Amino acid sequence: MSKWFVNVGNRSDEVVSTRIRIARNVKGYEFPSLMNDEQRYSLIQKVSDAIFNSEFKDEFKFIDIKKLTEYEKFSMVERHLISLDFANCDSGRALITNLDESLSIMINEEDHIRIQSFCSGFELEKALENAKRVENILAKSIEFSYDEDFGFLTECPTNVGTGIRASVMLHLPVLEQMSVLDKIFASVSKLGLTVRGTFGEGTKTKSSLYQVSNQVTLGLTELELIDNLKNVVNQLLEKENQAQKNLDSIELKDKLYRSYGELKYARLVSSSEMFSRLSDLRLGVSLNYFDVSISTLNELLFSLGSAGVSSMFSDNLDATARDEKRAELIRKAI
Amino acid sequence: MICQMCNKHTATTKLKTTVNGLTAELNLCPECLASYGYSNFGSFGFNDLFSGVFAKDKESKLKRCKKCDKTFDQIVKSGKVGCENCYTEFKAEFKPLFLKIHSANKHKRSFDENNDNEIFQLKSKLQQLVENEEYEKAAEIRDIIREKQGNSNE
Repeated sequence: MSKWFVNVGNRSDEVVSTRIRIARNVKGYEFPSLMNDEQRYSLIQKVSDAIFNSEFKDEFKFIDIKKLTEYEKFSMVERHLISLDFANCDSGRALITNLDESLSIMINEEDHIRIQSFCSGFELEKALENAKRVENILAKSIEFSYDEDFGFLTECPTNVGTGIRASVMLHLPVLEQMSVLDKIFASVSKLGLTVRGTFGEGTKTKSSLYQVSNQVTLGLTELELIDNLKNVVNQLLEKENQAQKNLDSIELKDKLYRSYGELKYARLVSSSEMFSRLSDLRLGVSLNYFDVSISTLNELLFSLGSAGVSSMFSDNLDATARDEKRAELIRKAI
Repeated sequence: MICQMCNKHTATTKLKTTVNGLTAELNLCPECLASYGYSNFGSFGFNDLFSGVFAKDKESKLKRCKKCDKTFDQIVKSGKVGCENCYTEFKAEFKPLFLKIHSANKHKRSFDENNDNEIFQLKSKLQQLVENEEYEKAAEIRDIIREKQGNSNE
């Protein structure tokens, strides 16, 4: 079954993906950091029953984290299915996911229940609707921790209220090159939103990809939260589009075509080189220079990180072997 | 020691993972470490957000959650709330903290929630009526719940 990121969504060349995360906790249990093993397993059972006793049971599968290899686990981290923290913990946690991984539930991570919904492209409403569908299935047999004044309760006060973190992953290569992003992000943070590079919180990013998400979760409805984010994303994309148009030139075309050539013929491609070239290719598609499928770009982006490549082969590969395999897979795909 | 991921830069940190008794160790440079999400340790930025919101008076400082026994200061220091009851116990202390984090201290309900809350309240009422053997009234409530659940699925 192919994964969600192989699909093409709204404005997929500029917006790689949309993600909605809903945090919920179960009434009557302490929050995860204070739970003992018995409580953890009881909760896993509760959530598992809620899904697998429902009419949707065939859409989902239960993943036993303990049975995965190191590479399989970190490959899941690379495609944002689970957090690094979750991957490193070996007991008392569980993962339920649907077949293309667009919907998943992490159990006993930072909150009892973390529903995650992914869509390719710019699809905030759709991602929210899908996440709410999972929430509604669970709500039929599980009572969530809720307070009249504070809304849905979470282990970390920064998630209280709606318990929703909405993020959009944007491709901003030209604005990044112009070094104007720091200023732009500073003003974005005044609106209750936050921007970070893919993987980690610093300024380092992969493939010129930036995640814009809401920081505030209390005092606004779900739809208001999404609208705020949508408006800011639209403005950012507008800025990037303008900057791209201004840079349109034969010199740029040459640079991007050379990247295309590298990926088509190189025999060794490191993950950092791949991320950098994929950004060039994505920009080339945005500017209508060439016609590479976004679906292919997404698949390479999410599946061919270090762990991703390693997980495809049973032998332990060293760095050079990985780079060789990656180059081979890329040549086949493009 | 060279980073085991990129084989280029100097490794500054050792990342150790243990699964099923098997330990794997990776020596990583700052860049590769960051690619795993470890660019900052502990609760990032937390102390900035939470500074100045510790419990003010002695009474507040000593108050403990009746269910999990945490004090408000412990919650602020660790960045983690112990249980749902903490939010009730320390309601007054949480309000200024929320103003700082969210610029708001009251939840705004989405449409679905108004419906869901009612359903929970009706369900507990249903339970009471069944316990009291008032089956006719219970049946009425049951029908109302079914209707509301049907509406929220549309």
